[in-house]
Amino acid sequence: MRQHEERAGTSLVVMGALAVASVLAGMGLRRPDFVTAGATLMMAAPLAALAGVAFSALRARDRLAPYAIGALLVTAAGMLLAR
Amino acid sequence: MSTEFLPLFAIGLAAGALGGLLGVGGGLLIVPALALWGGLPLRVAVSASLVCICATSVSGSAIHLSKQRVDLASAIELQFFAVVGAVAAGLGAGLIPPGPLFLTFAALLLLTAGQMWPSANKGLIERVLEHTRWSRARVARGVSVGAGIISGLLGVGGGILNTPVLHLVMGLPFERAVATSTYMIGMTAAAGALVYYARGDMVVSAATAAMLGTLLGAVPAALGGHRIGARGLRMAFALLLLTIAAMMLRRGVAEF
Repeated sequence: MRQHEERAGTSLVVMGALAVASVLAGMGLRRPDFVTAGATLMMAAPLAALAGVAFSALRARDRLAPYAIGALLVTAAGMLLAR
Repeated sequence: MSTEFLPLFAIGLAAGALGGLLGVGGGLLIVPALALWGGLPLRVAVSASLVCICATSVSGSAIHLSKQRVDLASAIELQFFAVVGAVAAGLGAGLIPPGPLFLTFAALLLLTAGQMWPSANKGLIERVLEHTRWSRARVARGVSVGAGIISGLLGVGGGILNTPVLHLVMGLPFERAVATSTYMIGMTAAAGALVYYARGDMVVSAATAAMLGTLLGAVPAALGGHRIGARGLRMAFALLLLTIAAMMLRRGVAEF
């Protein structure tokens, strides 16, 4: 479980920091595409953390793997249906 | 920097500070503020709020995970059910006119005001959960779906449901329940936000302005390390929620 926590925590920190940096850079450089990328990164950060947990849970044959993968698939399906 | 940045940043700042200090999600304040005073359509306000919740969850969870406060097993399992609810509600929100959504939001504000009122030893949700005779796993999963639905539909985190369930039904200590809920609401909000984003119901500049404000506003609570439980402040906040509920009710009736 500690391995899952480390993966999730690292993903959150990296993605969150990138998201904020991208938004600030976009505002400073007047690049709206950077701002959009930052918002997308922020929304993707929890998914990246969950994907990290899913990966390590699959490798460890943990019972959490189906829940983590299921949540990612439901989110992807929701995005496809919303388009 | 656009002219709309500062007001939206200020709304995020106030919501982040109050939410962090009082232990309620910023969404309860961000959505009404953006919809009533920011002039944004309700669905755009909801999507902006969901991005803010992602941001506060990401920053809070990173700390909680490093200190091993998150019960990841419970979080991942219940998160699946919350995501199902959030995605379904996010899709459904595209079909629901604003009037009923304003009224539902007002009802949620009234419920939260009741939870915050100092004279109530325990809120309605705690009392219901304590007296239920259903299986604990079923209650937790069902309530998680409910938390996902209110998150995807109304742009709030769902912590008002998650924390009591994790504490009273799953038996986690309160501090651990709060940390686990903080982690869970990020994924739930992300699932809902991505549905709004894919449908084109998100104004990215508004969402990011509020998000930066929320992140900065949450710093005092993070530095303080604990929430303010002062009776007067809780009562003032409950009254603020009641006032906003009345405004949302009025707007909801006007939208019909």
